[in-house]
Amino acid sequence: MFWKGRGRSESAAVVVPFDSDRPAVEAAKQDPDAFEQLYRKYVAQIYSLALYETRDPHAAEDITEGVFLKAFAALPRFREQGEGEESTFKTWLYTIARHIISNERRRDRRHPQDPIELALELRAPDDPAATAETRLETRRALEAVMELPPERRQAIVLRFVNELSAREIGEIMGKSEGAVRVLIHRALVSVRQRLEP
Amino acid sequence: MTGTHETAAQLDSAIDSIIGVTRGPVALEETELVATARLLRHSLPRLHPSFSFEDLLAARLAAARRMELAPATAPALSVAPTPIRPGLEIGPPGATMHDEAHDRRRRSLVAGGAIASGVSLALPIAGAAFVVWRRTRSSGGLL
Repeated sequence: MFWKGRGRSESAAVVVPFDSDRPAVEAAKQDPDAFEQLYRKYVAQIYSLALYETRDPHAAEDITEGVFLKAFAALPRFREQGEGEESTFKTWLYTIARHIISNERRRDRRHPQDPIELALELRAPDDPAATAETRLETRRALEAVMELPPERRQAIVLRFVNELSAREIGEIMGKSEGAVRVLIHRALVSVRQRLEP
Repeated sequence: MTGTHETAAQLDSAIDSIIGVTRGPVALEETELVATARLLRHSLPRLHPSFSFEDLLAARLAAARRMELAPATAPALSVAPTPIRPGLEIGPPGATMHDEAHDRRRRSLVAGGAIASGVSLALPIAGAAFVVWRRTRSSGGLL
């Protein structure tokens, strides 16, 4: 990891974690065609988050489209931030997604798919050899996650599906890293309790 | 650090290891919550949109570039609620997201319905036409 000094004085440098997307972001600012690289990298991540949140493939596609069009339009004003407001392109993109998902949920209450149906859809195509027991376990775990309060569910999805760190999730959700860790801990306790026979 | 925060931090390190962002092997105490984290790792896969959707959106972004949707003049990023559908205006007037294949699946359904309706309408019409033709032919033959 590269650390960049951004201090008010040399003795009190503030470190900003290097954003691995910075070269691609800078390229996209100069040449809009370069945005496709960022789009291809993140499209599945954003779609996944949207699908887990809405449980509706159509809504997930709409949200994904909205996120990338908005990000494309707003990219010139994106600035990496530091000094307590760390923001990488990734967390910025997820923040856009989170707002659009939230807005979509308020605006358009489509009927979400049943969690069981989603579980079957998730596992059936790519896991034909899964045992009935595994399928049942997967289904129950999914159900348990889907039944979590929205904030806990979103933290779980961001952590396990999108593989974001607690710090990154904190940036997206407007919480401290410690608060996100506690949120995830409580979410796992809830899931554990729901899975108990 | 309180007990809860400490426990949560330990679990967070375990999750790092489970999702594979920790370099090198990490000895994990296999608690119930760690087992639950492993289960969630397995049960919550990342999902990909269809390739057709991915390519369609890539084409739409490319179209936005071609239309010289100059980023410098694009609307400012706002955290305020943003309309997605119908008609999220992006680019010049008239260029909306709610055209072409944006809702292609729904449109496909609509198209399918239209086809079905068309067939259901066309069959009786064709049948009626055939009857008329047969009668005409028959009448012609008799007359």
